[in-house]
Amino acid sequence: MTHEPPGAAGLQVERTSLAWARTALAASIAALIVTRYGVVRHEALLTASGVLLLVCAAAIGAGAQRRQTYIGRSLAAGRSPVSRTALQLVAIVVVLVGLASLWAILALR
Amino acid sequence: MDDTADGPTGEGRSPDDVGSSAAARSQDSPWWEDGTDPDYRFSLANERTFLAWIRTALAFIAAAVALEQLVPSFTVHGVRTALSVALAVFGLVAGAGAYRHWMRSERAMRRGEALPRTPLMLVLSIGLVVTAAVIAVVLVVQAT
Repeated sequence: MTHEPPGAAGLQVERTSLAWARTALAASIAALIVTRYGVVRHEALLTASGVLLLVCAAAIGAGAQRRQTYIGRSLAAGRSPVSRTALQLVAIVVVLVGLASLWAILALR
Repeated sequence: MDDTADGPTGEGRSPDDVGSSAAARSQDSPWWEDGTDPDYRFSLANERTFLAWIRTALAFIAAAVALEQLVPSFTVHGVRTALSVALAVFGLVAGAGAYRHWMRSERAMRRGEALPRTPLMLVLSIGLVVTAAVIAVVLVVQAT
């Protein structure tokens, strides 16, 4: 706390924003793989979960910028920058896509 | 998974709120109102760790689907499906575990307690070693 150089908060926020952007990229690639499998095998549930993940990836990509603004505003106001809802949504979507993929692997083998 | 891992072995503590937490814990209020707001740098680091686990989960799910979709069937029957299922299951566990670990870490930091340990890392390592071993065995069997 006491040895924080000027601008360190900006770097923290930037790193966090980049982590969200990387996650959006990873989610889009996973979404494309899952969606393709769903389309090729005519599996509506898998296709739907792939599209859901793709939408989520787009939302994360757009949200990375808003998150940066929100964190900056929270810090300026002396509030905790934690955003539980965003993390819950991301985790729920990942679990849903995982379940759909697992189901498809077992059903289509 | 157990909930007893809040041992004294965690290495990270917020310098600001050590020792200030015991009285702040409440049965009625939700965990995110416990204690005091931790140093924002720890909260952001915790969030990035969550995201890293999420990316790991996504990579495992994508690998599971890609294996089933793109790799031709092994001569050893059922091995490819078994590997795919194992990868997908770990993706699921990592996705759910990411949130659980984030939540428990954030709560520990609010209360000024030691950071919780997670079994995810051990599961990940064992899973990868077993997966690699199975693939190695299959390749050797196919080649002979």
